[in-house]
Amino acid sequence: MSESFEQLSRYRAGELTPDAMRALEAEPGFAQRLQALKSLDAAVEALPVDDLPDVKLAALLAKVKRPEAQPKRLRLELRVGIAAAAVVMALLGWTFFGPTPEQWVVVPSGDVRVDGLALTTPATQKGAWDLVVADDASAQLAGLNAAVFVAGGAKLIHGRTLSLQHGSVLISAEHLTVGAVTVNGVSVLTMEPEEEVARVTELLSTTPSGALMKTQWLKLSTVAASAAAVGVGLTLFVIEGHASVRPDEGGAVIVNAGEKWRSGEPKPLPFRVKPTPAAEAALAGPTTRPTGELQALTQPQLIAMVEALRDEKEALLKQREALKKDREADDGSKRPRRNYYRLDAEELNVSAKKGELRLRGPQLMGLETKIEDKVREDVGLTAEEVAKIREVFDASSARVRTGLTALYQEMGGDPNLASSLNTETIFNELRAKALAGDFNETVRTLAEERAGVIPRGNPSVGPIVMRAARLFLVEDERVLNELEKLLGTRRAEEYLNHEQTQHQDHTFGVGPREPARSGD
Amino acid sequence: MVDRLRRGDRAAQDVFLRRYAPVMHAFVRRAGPRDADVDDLTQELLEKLLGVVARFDFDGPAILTTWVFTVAHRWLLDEKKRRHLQLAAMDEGADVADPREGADASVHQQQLDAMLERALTQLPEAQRRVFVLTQVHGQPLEAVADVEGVPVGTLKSRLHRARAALAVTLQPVLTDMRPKRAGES
Repeated sequence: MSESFEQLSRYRAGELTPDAMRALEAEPGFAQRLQALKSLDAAVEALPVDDLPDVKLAALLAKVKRPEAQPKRLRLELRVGIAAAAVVMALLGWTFFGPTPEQWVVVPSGDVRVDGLALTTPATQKGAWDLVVADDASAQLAGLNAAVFVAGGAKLIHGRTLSLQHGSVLISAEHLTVGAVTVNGVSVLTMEPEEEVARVTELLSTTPSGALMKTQWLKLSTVAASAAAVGVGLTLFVIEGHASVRPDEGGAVIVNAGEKWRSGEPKPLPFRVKPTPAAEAALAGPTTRPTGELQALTQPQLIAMVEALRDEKEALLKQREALKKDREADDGSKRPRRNYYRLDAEELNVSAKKGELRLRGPQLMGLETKIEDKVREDVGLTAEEVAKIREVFDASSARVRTGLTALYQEMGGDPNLASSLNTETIFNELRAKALAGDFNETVRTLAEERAGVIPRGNPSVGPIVMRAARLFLVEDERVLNELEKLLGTRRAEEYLNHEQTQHQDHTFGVGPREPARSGD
Repeated sequence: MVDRLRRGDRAAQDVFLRRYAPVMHAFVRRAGPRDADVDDLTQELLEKLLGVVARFDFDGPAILTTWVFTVAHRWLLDEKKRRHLQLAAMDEGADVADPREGADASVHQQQLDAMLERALTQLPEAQRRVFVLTQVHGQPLEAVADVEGVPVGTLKSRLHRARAALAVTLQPVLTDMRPKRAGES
């Protein structure tokens, strides 16, 4: 019975294939069970989302301890202290830390977010938090009786324990546990190995974060080639000392220096990397000695090292591309990348049947349009074209915002407040204030219009939330047209579907229209 | 607002607390701790939120409510681990009368709410948590999946299983609840 309802729940969500839907509809008792599920959803929707009577609320608020603001002078001193300590930490490397360590996050450069908020450098963090490091940034954690270097694109959660969600970290510790791995020595944990090839070497020329980091990342870059050869999944490389892993199944695995372990494998294997000649020359120098000696390098040596690493990066990138092609060739069933260009008739029809609407474009969040160097290079974008692409998106963003703000005012919203909200928030406000059922109807109607199932509606007619959502569709089409006019059809598609082109799209799925019941 | 919160402005804190305390109380109650802990836990959660809300970027892309729920969700997960909170069904003795039997609409709704709340407590913890966050409090799947550390597909599976379990538990009541049409008594 439960399985039947589970399938029915997927049916309601539009997640079944047409065949599976028909099969389900043909089952005895289908209509009755569907009605039960609808009643359940209605009952859930009717549950109160708050449950505190005024008297109890007042009593609770009286008990809540309020944080006191720090006097400015104290905060300044604290900041200076943190900055000084961070510098000392970076210089001392791993000879530090008292018995009750406080966690520090040092951000040498780039965008690093803690609990979703941009971090001001340097800073301290206590308690549970999420550290998300942008692709072009890096971060260093200290105060854990360890030094943890977090590569760009990584996410590290620090709750009761540390856990790596994605990306790579290099850990130097006497005893530090990250997820199921306990490190004694120096190890690299990576979840997205093939991407690390570019990242780790890039860090070396952009991160002024002290000798230890440079030395260790140098070592990391030499293992990255090996990392590139493995698939997605947790991989542990032990560079010095040893580490132990507690897999979900089976007993603990000890991984010694020079060994790697991959999730799903019963035992560690040795890893060997043959660096490029230039990298080998650099590694043979003082940087292979114990940590903390990078200061002894002369400027020419440092330049040679960076050049060697650049050579190595080039070689590794080529290797990565080759591996990627091999993998794709091997895996014929690999799912195609999501299409960010024009959706074809089949995609639109499927969306319409599922009651699904995809709103695309950077304009929703009002984010700056970033165009990566790789995209410029691969698509052959000139500086003028890059500027014009930004203009296209910026103008679109402005039009959407103007339109949404007008609708917000029409709804009775305060224009001053609207000016302080980002575009997505305004849209969500409009959505939240829509009458029950309007949003679902909007999604289904617009998806059907887009697929050509029904004629296009009048943009200035309909509920506010529908007019708001329609703005995005109109802009989506307009942006595509303008990009094609600017770049031509082929290059516009190439740009939009480039793997490093950044997109922001929201997919709203409200499920298919209710199937007509027999006898109705 | 954020500047006032950052400065420790008590009025701003009051506005924030009055907006979120009732919602957080409901969330904490449904998320699993024993009844006796709900007020204390809500108090601690509100203190945590007050401590971090000054870091919220009001000009950024995140919506405050989603952010608050994300912080609360993560905090509750940590608290559960720390305190070894046990799931507890609501009062076992509080059997609720079958709402099909002659109750008026309001009483019927209250009874159904109570039955649903009780059925919620019987769900496995992970299913219940994501169901409450997404279906009761309307939080985005992506945000909840992120805190849970699972792909959105896994989260959807949990939701379908939760919905199915609730439907099985409440089916005798739900199948008799077809919406009445105009003029129908």
